[in-house]
Amino acid sequence: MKRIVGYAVFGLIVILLQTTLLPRLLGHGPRPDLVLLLTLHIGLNERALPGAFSAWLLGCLLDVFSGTTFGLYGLILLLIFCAATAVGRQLNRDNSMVMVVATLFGTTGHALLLITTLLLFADADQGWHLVLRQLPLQLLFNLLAVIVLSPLFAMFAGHKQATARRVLS
Amino acid sequence: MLDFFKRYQTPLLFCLLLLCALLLYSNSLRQRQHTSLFEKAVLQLASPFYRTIDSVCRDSARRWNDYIDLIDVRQKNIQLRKQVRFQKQRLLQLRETEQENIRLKNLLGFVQTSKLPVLPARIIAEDASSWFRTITIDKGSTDGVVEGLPVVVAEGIVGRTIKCGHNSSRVLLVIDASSEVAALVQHNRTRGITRGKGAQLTFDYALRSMDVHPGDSVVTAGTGGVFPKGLPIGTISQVVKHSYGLFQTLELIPSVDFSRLEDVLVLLPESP
Repeated sequence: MKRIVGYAVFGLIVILLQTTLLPRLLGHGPRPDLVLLLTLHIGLNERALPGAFSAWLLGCLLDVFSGTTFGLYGLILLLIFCAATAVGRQLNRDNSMVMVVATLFGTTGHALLLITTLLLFADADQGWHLVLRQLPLQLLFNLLAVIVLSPLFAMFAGHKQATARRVLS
Repeated sequence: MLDFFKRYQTPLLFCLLLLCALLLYSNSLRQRQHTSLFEKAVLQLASPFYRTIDSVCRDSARRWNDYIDLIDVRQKNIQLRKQVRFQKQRLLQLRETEQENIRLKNLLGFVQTSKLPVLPARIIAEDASSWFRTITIDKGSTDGVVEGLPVVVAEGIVGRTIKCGHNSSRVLLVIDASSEVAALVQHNRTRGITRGKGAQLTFDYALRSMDVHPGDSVVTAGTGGVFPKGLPIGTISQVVKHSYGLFQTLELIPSVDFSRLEDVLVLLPESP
């Protein structure tokens, strides 16, 4: 529970940065999707159920500040978490490249899920054009962000492992 | 049965969570104009942070311009540079005031011609993702803002309010792909619907027989129930006529420069 609340608070801070600071620094175009990166990190490092709750909660928080329909990002980030958890189990998560590869596939998957959800459930005639057009730049920004933030992610993962070792001993 | 639940507890809870997420989304789709308690609470929680971050950013930018680059001034030039700094600061302030004056004069001009009561608001944040086009303004339900109100500037329409917290609201811009506005070409009254395309707009369902040209102005039709009639939407930049079909599609350049928006007006409903 503590970790879920922690992720929610951290997510809210990230969203506030994403809506205020990043547009000032990077302009009005695409910018790094830090919430997606956080979800991927949770997917690769967190246990299944608390992680799933955290991802859903992060998505719902993002929905308050983005888009028109509440629950859209909740659903998408939950699905991304599921994919990251399922695939992440097969990988060596200590390798920092895993997060980079996860970002590459996560960003693409995020865009495809967004398009599919909008086409299936909402009336978004031209929405998919926009998402596809922005995808390359979004990929670039997310990859740059994950490379810059990799020490932070490594620190979080290391802290979690240390806590787990302490509990086990 | 209990063994089954125990054995597959995690996958079952996972599926339940996924189902909950799907149900929440599908329920929200039917109540788009409704701001839920969760959304109100989070918007309310974020509102002071937004204001603080906004004022800190403005102050930092001003200080960066005015002071930081003058830190390494040589001692003997301190007095002179102080004077230059002061003059620069004054000049920046005056320019800022001049720009603000121009903006507010434009808005005032609109306020005087508008028959509806208006509420000036400042933009404090943008959409959290790159895919959607929404903004957050510093006025909420305590100022009389409700969902579905038109938001405009002197140059034309900006969007409509979609979520309202106590002290802040979110506005769906007309350039968002999910935004639709009933419109007409000003000179020959061709009716249609404008839709957002990210940075531009399209005008759909314009009858093929109607004579329209690039450069023609498009205004609100006033039939959608949100925007009053006659507000500028944009200018036709391209006419797309396919070889068959009843309609032609028009590409529009919005009359509002969305990358430079700072202050907007919310058109409040007429008091009974």
